[in-house]
Amino acid sequence: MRRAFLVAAIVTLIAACGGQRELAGYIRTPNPSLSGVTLPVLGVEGVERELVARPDGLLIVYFGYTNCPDVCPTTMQDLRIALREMDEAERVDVAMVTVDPERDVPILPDYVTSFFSDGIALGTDDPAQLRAAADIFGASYLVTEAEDGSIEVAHSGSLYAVDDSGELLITWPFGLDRDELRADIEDLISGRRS
Amino acid sequence: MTRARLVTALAVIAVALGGVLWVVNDSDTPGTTPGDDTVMPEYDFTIPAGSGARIDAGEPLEIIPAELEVTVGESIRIVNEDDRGHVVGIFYVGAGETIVQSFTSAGELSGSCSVHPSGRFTLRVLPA
Repeated sequence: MRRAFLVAAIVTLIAACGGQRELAGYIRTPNPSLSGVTLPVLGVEGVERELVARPDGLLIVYFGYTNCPDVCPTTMQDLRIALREMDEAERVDVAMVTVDPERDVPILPDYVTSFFSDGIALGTDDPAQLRAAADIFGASYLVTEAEDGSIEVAHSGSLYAVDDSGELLITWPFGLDRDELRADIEDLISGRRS
Repeated sequence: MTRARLVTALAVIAVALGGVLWVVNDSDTPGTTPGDDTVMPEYDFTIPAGSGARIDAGEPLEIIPAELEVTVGESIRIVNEDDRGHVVGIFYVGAGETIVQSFTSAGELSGSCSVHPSGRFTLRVLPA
C-alpha cells in the first residue's frame, strides 16, 4: 500500500515537473472566443457555419486564397499530411476562409476538397463580416489591384485551432515543422490546453 | 516501508526537485517566479497601454527589436497591455492578451510589426 503510494507520488511529481513537450504553436491568454461567429459555407446555398468544432472535436481554420502560389498550398499540404499521419483525425475538421472572395467564392469548395475530402469552404462578399471574423483570429489580409490590373494579396499564413466551446486554443505560424504540427493536434485532441 | 522511510523518501524527492528548480532560477531570466512554478521566458516584451494611440500620433515606438536571434529551447512572451491588438512578426497579440511561444525548431520567421518603426520583425531561431 505504502509502496504503491510512493510510486504514485513519484510519478505525479515527475509528471508535474517536466517531461511534457513544448507546444509548437502559441496560445493567446485569455483565449479569444469564436462562439456565435459565423461565415457562409460556400457551395451550399444559404448555410452559415459557426466557427466552432463539433462536440469533442477540433476545428482547424485557415485564412487564404486559391491563387496563392506558395504559402496556402504549402500549408494545406502540410496539414493534410499531418492529419493523415495521426490517429483520431476523424475528430478534426478543416475550414478554409477566403480572403479574396471576389475570385474565390465559386471555386474555393473544389480547392479545399482537393486537400481534405470533408473540408469546409467559407467566404463572404460582406467585407465587414469577413473582417470581424478574421480580427478575432488575428488573421490579417490586404487585397489590392496593381497598376497592370493584376490582383495582389498579402495575408498572414497562420493556422488556428478552435474547440467545441468556441475557444481559440492555439495559433500555428506559417512554416512550422509538419511533425510538430501533428504532435500539437494530437495533444489538443487528447485534451491538452496549455 | 515504514512511515519514517516513506517521509524520508518523499523529502529526498522534494529536495531533488527543489534543487532542479533552484538551478533553473539561478540566473536573471529565465527562471521560476518566486512563489510560483511558472518558468519565465528568455525574451519578455510588454506593449504598454496607449501604444496604439502614440503610434497614431506619429511617435516612433520601438517596443520590440526589428530583429531577434533566439535558440531552440528558448521562449518568448509578449504581453499586450494596450487596448488594441498588435501584430509582431508571425505573432498576433490581442488587446489585453499574453502569448508565449517556445521555439522548437530552427529557422527564420519574418513579418510585419506594428510596434517597431521599421514595420518589420524578423525572428531567427538558431539550433541549440
